[in-house]
Amino acid sequence: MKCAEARTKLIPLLDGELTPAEEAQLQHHLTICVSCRQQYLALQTTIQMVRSTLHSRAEPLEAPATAWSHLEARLSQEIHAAPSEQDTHHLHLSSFLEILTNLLKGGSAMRRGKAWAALAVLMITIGVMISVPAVRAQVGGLLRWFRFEGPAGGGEVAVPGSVEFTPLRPTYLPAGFQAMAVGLNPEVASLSYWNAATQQILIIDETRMGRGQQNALPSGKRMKVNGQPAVLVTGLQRNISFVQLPPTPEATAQTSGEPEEPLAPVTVTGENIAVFDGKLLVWHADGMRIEMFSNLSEEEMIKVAESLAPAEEILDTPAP
Amino acid sequence: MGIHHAGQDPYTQASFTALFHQYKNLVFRTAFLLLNSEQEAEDALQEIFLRVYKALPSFDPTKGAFTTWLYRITVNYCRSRRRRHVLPTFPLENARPSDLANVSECVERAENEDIVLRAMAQLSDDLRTVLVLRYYLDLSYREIADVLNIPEGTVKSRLDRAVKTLRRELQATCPRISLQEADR
Repeated sequence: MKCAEARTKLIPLLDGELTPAEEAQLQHHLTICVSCRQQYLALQTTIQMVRSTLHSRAEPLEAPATAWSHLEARLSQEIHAAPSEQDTHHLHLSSFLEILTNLLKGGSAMRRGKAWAALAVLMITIGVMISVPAVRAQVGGLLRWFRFEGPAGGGEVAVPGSVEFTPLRPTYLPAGFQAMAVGLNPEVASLSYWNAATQQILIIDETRMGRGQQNALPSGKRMKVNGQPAVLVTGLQRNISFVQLPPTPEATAQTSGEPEEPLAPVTVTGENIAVFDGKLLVWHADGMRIEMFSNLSEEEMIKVAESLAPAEEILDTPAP
Repeated sequence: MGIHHAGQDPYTQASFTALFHQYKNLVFRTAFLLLNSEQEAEDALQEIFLRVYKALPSFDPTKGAFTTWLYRITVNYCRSRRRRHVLPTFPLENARPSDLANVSECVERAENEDIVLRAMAQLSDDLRTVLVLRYYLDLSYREIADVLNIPEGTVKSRLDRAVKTLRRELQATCPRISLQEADR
């Protein structure tokens, strides 16, 4: 190998991007060429400095605690500004299953660790609706499963097994409330309930409080939830829409073999509620920031808030 | 709070909330490195996830990983942001040699990181981007090619130029750093 060629391969060598044959050739050249070896060492030092600097400067940074609320406000503006585009915001369950199946079949270009992270998110999303024993069995040890019981049925959702996080769920709900959806990831649990007859809504978001994040309570009426300081913000307006969930299907997700039949998509019922007297109750509990939005009475909101308890964890993973 | 708006199902909300919290720090940190500014990165985080939200229904997992798609949106936004705004840089001329006298001690200290950041800030967007994708996000050449939609050979040549340019800049700025100059 000549020096000119060797020098075009020094960085790929350091990056682990050469074939074994190319690497062997280059390593041999480096043992006999002092000049190329010096350059190799210089580039190695440079890359180490770049890598160390990028990680050292970026890793301590955390996205601002207000990022989600700001984004939500932006999304709200965007959606209201362009109502004709609302339909494009739908992500149907069948799409998630497609993604999930693709990940399980190894069809993704993601590396294994990243694939599991994404898988957890996507499974969590559909977990409340379907039972997928084949999938559960495959990933059983990697995830923690929780069961959420509601007045109209329950569902199972998961977080990665390495996460020490137990979502809270209300053990009290006013009569007539049904569970709409549960979303979980390692940092957030989002629970939605509604009462079709009384047009009342209850949305509970639980966010893990990150290290160094600002988690100050907003301005509003000071209250207590189980003795902890809480703030109630009143007079909020929000448009809520409800969807018709398909009947809970039997396990249809497959990890191999013939393509599964797509599940019925979640469809919008067309039933919407414009909440003009919404209230937001915010407090901290068990290392979580909890935000509850509802048009229930203040007393009922406090009652639901004080009933929050850890969701039941399912410890036995069923056999496939 | 969750997002429940007319025409939007709660699964969209749940999935998007989950995605946001899963990837917010990664996007925030990457934007910070590409834009050299925490404030700019905060704005970028909002804009990037707004784009993700709008484009999520068109995401096709058969065409590549979600993270590749997310990084592409992040890189494209930061690139356009830099074109539209004059962003803070770290001019090399401000790094006075007297500040860098004891380089052997500062190799593992913040001053040395400043030197690297200043040197990186002198690079073109294209070169800085490949450095961040390779040495911060730890993407392979193939993955970087997918994110930037360029041939793998171009990734290789950009990294070659970026690292060698940095080495020269670092040596010029901080001569006691042991970086041999051997290819001139």
